Amino acid sequence: MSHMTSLRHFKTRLGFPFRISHRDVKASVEEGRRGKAKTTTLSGFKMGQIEWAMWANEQAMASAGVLLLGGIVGVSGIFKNWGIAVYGIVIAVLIIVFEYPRSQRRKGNTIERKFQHILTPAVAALGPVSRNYYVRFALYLLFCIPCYFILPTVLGGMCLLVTSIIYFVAAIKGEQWIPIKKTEESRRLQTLEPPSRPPPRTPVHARRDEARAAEQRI
Amino acid sequence: MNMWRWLRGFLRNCGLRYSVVVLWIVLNAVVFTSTYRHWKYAPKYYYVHQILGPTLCISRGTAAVLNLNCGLVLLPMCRVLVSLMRFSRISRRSFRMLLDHCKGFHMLCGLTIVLASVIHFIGHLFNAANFSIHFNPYYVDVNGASYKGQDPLYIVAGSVPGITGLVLMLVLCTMATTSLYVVRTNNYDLFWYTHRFYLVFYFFLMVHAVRGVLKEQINLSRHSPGCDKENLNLSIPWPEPEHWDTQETVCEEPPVFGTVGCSVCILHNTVCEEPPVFGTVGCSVCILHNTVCEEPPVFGTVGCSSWMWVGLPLLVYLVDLTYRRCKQGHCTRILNVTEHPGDVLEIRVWKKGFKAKPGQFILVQCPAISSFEWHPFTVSMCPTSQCESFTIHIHAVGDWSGRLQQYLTGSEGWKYVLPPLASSKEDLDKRLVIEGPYGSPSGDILKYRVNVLIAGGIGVTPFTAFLHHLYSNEKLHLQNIERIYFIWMCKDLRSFKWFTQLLCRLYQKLWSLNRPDLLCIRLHVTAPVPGSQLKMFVKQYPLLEKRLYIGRRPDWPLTLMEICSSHKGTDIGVFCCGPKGLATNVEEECSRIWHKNANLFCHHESF
Repeated sequence: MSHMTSLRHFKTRLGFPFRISHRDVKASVEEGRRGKAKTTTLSGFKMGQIEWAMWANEQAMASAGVLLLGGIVGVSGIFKNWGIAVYGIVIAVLIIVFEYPRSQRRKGNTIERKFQHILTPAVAALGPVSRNYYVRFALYLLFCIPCYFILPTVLGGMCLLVTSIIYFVAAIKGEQWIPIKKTEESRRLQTLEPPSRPPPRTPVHARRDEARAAEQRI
Repeated sequence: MNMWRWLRGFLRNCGLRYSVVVLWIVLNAVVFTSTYRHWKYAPKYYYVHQILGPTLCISRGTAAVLNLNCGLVLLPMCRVLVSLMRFSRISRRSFRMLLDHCKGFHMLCGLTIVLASVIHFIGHLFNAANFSIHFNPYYVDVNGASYKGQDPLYIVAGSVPGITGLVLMLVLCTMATTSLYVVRTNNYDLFWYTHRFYLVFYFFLMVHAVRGVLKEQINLSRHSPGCDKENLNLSIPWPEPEHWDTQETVCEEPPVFGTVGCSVCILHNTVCEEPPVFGTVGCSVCILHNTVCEEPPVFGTVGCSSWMWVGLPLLVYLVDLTYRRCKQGHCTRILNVTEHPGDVLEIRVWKKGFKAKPGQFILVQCPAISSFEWHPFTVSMCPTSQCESFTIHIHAVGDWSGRLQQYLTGSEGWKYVLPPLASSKEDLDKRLVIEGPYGSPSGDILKYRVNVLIAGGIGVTPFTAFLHHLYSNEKLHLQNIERIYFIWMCKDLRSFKWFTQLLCRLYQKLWSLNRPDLLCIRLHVTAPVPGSQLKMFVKQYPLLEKRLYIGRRPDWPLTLMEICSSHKGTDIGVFCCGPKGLATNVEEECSRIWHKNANLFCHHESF
């Protein structure tokens, strides 16, 4: 029990719980304002809270991959209406570029895609088009329609439809695309700086005095 | 010399694992090539092969690989089966080290399924197009299309394999995207839910080939494939995508392995003077050349073969699952919840008749949070003869664990201790469902004379179970254990408070047993520590003062060399539990270092 009391003492002294970022506060306030339920129910069973947009992003990348492959098969020469296949390739490349930068997560740290910091400002510059997931839902819903007219792009179109549905769910849940701010600097601060002098070191104040003395001499 | 040393270490630590992978690759290659050759050369597929060309063989080959892997992917997930194998009499150390990597094999099979299905899918896209272009007007039954130039989209949409194939690909796509490392770690629930689609996936896999589009000829004895060309003087040119293939083949020798190798020779004046050696189809079609053409070819659908590959593993898995569900029971009670610094919950649970060995883990489900999700946690203190309850430590970092924290401790914030034995009715209703225990890589700790326990953060739990076992067990034969090195790394000094009491008590006990050198403790703090915090910690636990290393990680080569040189010629068990980077780092060093004839055996698990 003594352990516990000391713990309590410990926590109050240190001002638990640690640091809370501005964004976290904002997000939680927004959540409260919307009256968002913490748990969603599905046919009587309780379901966990899910970040849909993250999945939608991966699904969009996969759909674009499937569409790209289908498009390449489509332009190989044995399919008719290969114009749609070309359309599929173009759309797939656009989606890959658009979806490449991941969004900042609401809680916890985000794992970035390699070199995504190059594309993030470009996508962020699109403003509401990239920020609002309803836009993505509508875009992908429109994009996938022509894909159903030739066989090679059908699967890509179906995957894109699923993506747009997931984005719709994400949008309903109030998720948004937020560009990732640079995190490297804050990370670097946490690591210890190696000592610049070899071991027999004079204490800091002594060193300061030495430096002052040297200045005066000059 | 250096290379040889590395090879030795590598073989000791991961030899068996990689040989299983090699075996699996060979198996896949054999399955692919044999199916490929079968569809390429068997006379019964002559007509369908003529229409579709090489993509037929590619899609069939990958189909066989898919079937094989869809079966294998289930086996590592049979927890009861794996546990049985782990604790069976035949199990050896290397075998158990292999079982530690079950999940890796599951992922490997999953990845292969995705790759193979993409190739299979593309193959069938071409097949659909070829069915439409190379329509066979003479033998209409062999066609997949209804008329020449039918849109391939309608061929696919109008057939069972086409529709089920699209559904399968869609399901697989959702499963694959949520299994990616990023989604799996940050959004475990989603990963878990979409993986339940496996039931849909296997159902469609079973019915995928029903009423198949691909046809095989069933009256080979009355109609030699291709004989009509000369007999009937067909005016229509043959739709032969693989025309070159039939021209070149020579059939001068009987087939050596009894395969259907030379069956493509049928159209041409090839030599087939000797009867086949192994009594298979081989050249027999050549002998019938120009003789049997009594009736037009009759075609039957190619049977569904997925169930032969997948059926048994699926059955084993379902039996395993049912057994687990039956065993899990519901009679559990939360006795106490303690909140430690750094968002760690210590939950003391009682379950009727629950027994566990140190290092084992359980699956926990909280019906109030989610009825589907099961999360694995190591038992941090096993039930003993005096105390029937056990504890688990949960680091509340994720979504599920965060809500468990809220659920158990109340949302208003920092409540440190719940009253021992639930006071209100509401507390009494709080319950968890527990399944297990199952074995983990840390189960082998008692089997070495020298043990190195390396923990990163909350990964310390399997080792504390073991230390607690040392502390509480009076009859323990300590003479079997020479030394335990306990190395624990944390980002925050306060994290050590989770188990400092246990460490201090155990240390005192070992002093009283005159074995103070048995346990060697090293605590590493990787981030800078404020001075006041350090002072307080040292004041509270003076015993650990000299065992605290601040601001640095252990130098693995140096540490392990040091350990090796103090235990010459012994087998040293290195157990590592922590983040992935740590585990791989330690394993690499264990394979590389070979010093003073000491062998380092690395068992690791990561999260």
